[in-house]
Amino acid sequence: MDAAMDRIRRVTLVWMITALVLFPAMTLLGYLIRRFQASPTPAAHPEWFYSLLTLHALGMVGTWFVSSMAGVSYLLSRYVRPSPAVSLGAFFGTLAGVVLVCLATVGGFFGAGWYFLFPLPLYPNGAWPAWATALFFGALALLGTSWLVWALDVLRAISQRYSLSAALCLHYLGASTEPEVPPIVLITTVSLIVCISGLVSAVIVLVLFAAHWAGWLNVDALLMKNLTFLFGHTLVNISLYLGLGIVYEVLPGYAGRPWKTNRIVAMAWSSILFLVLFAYFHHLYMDFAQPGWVQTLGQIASYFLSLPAAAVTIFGVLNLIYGASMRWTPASTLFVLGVLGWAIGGVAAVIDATVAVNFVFHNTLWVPAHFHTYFLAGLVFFVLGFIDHLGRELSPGEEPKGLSKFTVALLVVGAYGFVATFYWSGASSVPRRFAAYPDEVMRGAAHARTSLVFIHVFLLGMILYLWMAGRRCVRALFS
Amino acid sequence: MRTCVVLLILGLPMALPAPDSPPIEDQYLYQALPDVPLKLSDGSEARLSQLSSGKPLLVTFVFTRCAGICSPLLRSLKGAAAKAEGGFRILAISFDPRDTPADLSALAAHVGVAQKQGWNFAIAAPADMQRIAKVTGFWFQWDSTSRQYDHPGLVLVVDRGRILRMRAGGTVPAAFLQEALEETRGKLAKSYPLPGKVAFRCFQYDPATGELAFDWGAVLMLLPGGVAIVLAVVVFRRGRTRVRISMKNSLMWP
Ligand code: HEM
Repeated sequence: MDAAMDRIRRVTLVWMITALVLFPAMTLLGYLIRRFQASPTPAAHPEWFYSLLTLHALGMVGTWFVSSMAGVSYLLSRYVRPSPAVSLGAFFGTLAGVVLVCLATVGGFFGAGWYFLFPLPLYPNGAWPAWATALFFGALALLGTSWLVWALDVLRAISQRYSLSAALCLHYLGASTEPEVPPIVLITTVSLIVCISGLVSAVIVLVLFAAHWAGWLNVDALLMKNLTFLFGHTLVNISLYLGLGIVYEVLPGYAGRPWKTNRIVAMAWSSILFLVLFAYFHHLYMDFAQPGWVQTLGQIASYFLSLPAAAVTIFGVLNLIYGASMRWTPASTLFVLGVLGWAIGGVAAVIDATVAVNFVFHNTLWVPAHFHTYFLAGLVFFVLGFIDHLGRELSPGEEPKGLSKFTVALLVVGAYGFVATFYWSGASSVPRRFAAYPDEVMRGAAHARTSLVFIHVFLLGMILYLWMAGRRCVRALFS
Repeated sequence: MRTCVVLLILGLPMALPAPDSPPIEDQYLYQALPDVPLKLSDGSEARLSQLSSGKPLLVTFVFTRCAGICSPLLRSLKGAAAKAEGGFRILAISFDPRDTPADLSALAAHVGVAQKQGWNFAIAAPADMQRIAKVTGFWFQWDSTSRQYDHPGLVLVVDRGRILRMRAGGTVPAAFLQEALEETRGKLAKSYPLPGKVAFRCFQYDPATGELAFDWGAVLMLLPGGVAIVLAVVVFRRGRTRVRISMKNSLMWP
């Protein structure tokens, strides 16, 4: 076996096993914060809610970014050679970042939310100590630097084989299909350039926070919010795209047909490069100091960002499956279900990105509903599908078919049941990020209690999944 | 405005302003004015809530023997009010225990305003004035040398009993008043005052035109996208100088 390839495999397994440890842990935190909301009486220590929410959200976003990144890096190594050493470096950077975030939130009660909007982290009014803020920012700096270097290395690897215009498939926009570029190369290139812009934005935010903290300058809260969402939104957005990159690359193997880049695929994905920089404006619809035309631009960019890529991908998946002799394994099933979840969450997101609707839905649980749909029933399914695929490739063996089907069914029922309660709350005006609901919206507590049932179902599915796919990955790592 | 909301959410302590500086708007927004009894210049009595019911109420604080800011501020308010659209009332409250209804009538005549134009001049009892001062940040201090009160010029825009906007200083620009009155009718004001001197504002707001213009902060918003594209170009240029893999033979890594 090629030693370099072996190293890439091992690093990927390390990432995936880590994801399989972090995900259930973060899901348990999600369960805990939903329990706060399920209680008819306010909790004795509501500050716990906010620190756990911060940890849950950053932990989840980070877990799915790194695992989709590790997944595409592995799959890309069929065509180019990302460095396993840089990936391993990013792994240790991430691990250290996770420790710091845990200390800041669980140890120091830092509870300003995962996107830490200015000026809240610096003015906690006694809710958490200054060292917790410092640790949290230290963690962000560490995570950001590790991921930036990692993203640059993957781009470097692609650049050794493709020119920038080839990697962006610009030649497909003309008549040429040469050189042939696999969709994963296009999707990864677009996503990582966008990722770099998000990380650079985070650097500017951290520098401005530090300058304000040191008393050197006063900072415009509107600028900070723009930059923070340029970071947060793009990171979340590209994690999904990287997950889709995995599907484009792996699903054809189960269908026994190729899924190639063509002019429409190239157009849909390369346009993202520009649109994503403006789509995040939909997080600022409530900020009336942002001019109206910026909001309109946000709405247009949000529509054009999601619709073409979604249409092309959904059509591509249906085209791939239709009439094919599909091999239905947990991996291929999760990929197809993931595209469905991504599409459903996407529709809910497009609805929410409409200015007129957002005025009503903003800050209700509708928002967590849509992003939990495309995360939990979308990206999570993509990565769990990939882990299953990887495990079977590296450590073959079969479980009883019924057990695999039952596991996937539990994950699907658990995920959709859970997000349905968020939609239900959102549609009945229950606010998001409330540790305890006031009497006017006490119905939110009943919805939360219903959701606890589905979280249990999901966790049960996760335990079975860990027993199957997790064991395989561990076996493959130590073989 | 947005900053103030953030500050309120944070529950920052309501810092009373130092007696030599005017109150900061952010710290007093949405405070409810106490419903104190007032003696009006025509000798009648009214509660503050009666004056602020049904219409927005502009409140300012004066004393009739003022040799400084009071008259110019009232004239400025009169000028701005003449240009403003929509119904509202104006209330000038005296904080000087020596003032009488007759003194207040004389001041109204001096400024050239009358009750039928929506203007009221009133006296609050000293204890009630203290309660008002606490929620508005207004302060006054007797200076025995000049035999005058030191106090800031302050105008409050009160909607349904709560402070919606506040302006400190000796003048009331017509644009401020118009904007604040529109806010009472539910229209959002685009301005976002920020404490102190702010580096890199995204937009500058012109209250006269209601327009927002780009400032240097907006350039910072474009910087990340620019840096990412430049970095990508640099990485790919370096990569192309060391092309190792022939693309003709195979799509896969050889
Ligand atoms: C079964 C699994 C999960 C459970 C039980 C769960 C639970 C929750 C709950 C209760 C909230 C608070 C909602 C609110 O009131 O605003 C929340 C917020 C959040 N969750 Fe999850 N979640 C799960 C999965 C995920 C996944 C897979 C992600 C992926 C990234 C994620 C990311 C987030 C984020 C970003 C927030 C928003 C935090 C904020 O508003 O500041 N969650 N989650």
